[in-house]
Amino acid sequence: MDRSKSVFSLCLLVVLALILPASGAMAQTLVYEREFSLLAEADNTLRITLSADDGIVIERPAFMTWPGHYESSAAAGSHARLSRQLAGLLPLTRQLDAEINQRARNEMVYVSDPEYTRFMLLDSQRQPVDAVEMPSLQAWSANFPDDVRLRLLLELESQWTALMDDVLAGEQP
Amino acid sequence: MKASIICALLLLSVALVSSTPVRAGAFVFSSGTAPELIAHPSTYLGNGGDINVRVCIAPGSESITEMQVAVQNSVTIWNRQQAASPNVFLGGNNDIPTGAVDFESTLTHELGHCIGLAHPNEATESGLPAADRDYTKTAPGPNGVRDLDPGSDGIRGSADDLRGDDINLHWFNIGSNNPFVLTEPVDASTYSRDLGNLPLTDTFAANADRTVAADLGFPGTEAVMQQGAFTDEDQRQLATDDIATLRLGMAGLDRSAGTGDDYRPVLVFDGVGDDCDITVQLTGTSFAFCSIGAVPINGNSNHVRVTNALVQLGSNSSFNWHFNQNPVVVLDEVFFVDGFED
Repeated sequence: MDRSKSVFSLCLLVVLALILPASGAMAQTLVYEREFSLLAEADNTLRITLSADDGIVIERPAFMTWPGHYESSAAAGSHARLSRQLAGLLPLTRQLDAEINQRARNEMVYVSDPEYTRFMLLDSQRQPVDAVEMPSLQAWSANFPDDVRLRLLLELESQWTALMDDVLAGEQP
Repeated sequence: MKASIICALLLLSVALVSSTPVRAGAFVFSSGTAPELIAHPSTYLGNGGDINVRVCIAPGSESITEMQVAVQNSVTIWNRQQAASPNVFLGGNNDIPTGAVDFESTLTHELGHCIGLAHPNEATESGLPAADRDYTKTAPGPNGVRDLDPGSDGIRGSADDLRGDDINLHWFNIGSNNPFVLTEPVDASTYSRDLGNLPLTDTFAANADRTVAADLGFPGTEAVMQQGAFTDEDQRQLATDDIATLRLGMAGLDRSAGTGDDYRPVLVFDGVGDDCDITVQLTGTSFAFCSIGAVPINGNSNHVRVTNALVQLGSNSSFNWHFNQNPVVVLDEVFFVDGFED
């Protein structure tokens, strides 16, 4: 009986350990940004915000096609899926920018006009809980195709882009 | 807990900023550890004369037909090496629709990178906030940070900036420090990075930013290589500083104009293909970049040449490009762009 109780307690602890962080993440907002920094416009950033209920807000600056502000719903489970993927990438990418820069110096590779891809997790006060920022993600991925971290970030970016494209497709006549 | 996370993020941010290398100076690949480095076009091997640099449009590119005039124009503009002032035309003073970005202006900037030129300003690669990116290109000095004070005129990038121990990477004309005036001959006898060669009244190298230009009496003028473009902006013609930097490289390995190793880059538009020195393509989600590799020339670590170059501008599905369809008109020594000769 005591053994059963302790097993049950252990199970409960494990379940709580799994549920609590997940519910915490669910309460947080995910943000994808792409800062097109070659353009000096005050608004030079594409921003997609995904809330815990899979509500999606897209802000496209004026120089992009289909500029403006869009609000819609993403496919159910999008927030949870992208949260998990970001959480998995965080430990892999802490030193990524610095290491790519070092490799670029060693191999004499240069990419002009860096633009910034950011994946962020914000708390209820919209303060960053965690974030990954990578300059020139597409260009470095092409230069260093053997770097799995760049490839994974690029894949994550493409998923955000797909969410946005779905919303924009619904807006087009 | 939250405080510790924020603290960790702040520390990470500081670490990332402080570890960001200077990947470019007035010439790409120059840096705090190699401030004297000059980058040359891919076909310069140390011998004098004309060097052809072939430019192609990638077969898989979008808008191949629409971009051809603009690509040819950019090639012509770099070959002509003729400065224009003003060279920035905004809004109703150009043929670009409101909200659109001029493909030709953007391409001309990126082609400059592909033949070795960097931003004269600190730009985004510095990691500085937007307001400070107009300061003159440097690498952090011994104190490990960039020192930023615009001086009494309040203009970032001007001759009275106070930059502490920052390492200047911007070449300026000795004795005048005016990026809108060309000093002949253009070589290391007339251009310098050494702040000891500044006019006595100046404290730092001025760059060819448009605000600096207006202050020096050249309104509406800015180096094409200055980073910081706008929508509805025509900047298709070079400024004096673009030409000065290119010609400094053209003085060759000895950095002395009029000697046997001087060269002249001749960009040749070679249509659609994938075997050129510079390939242009319209695709993907990045706005615009030039990606290049480089190797030292004859083992000289202060002179490198580009080995391959790719200019990529983002897909039409993402960006509202305007493709100029008016060829640059060349009439003897006078040329005009876009019909503005009227």
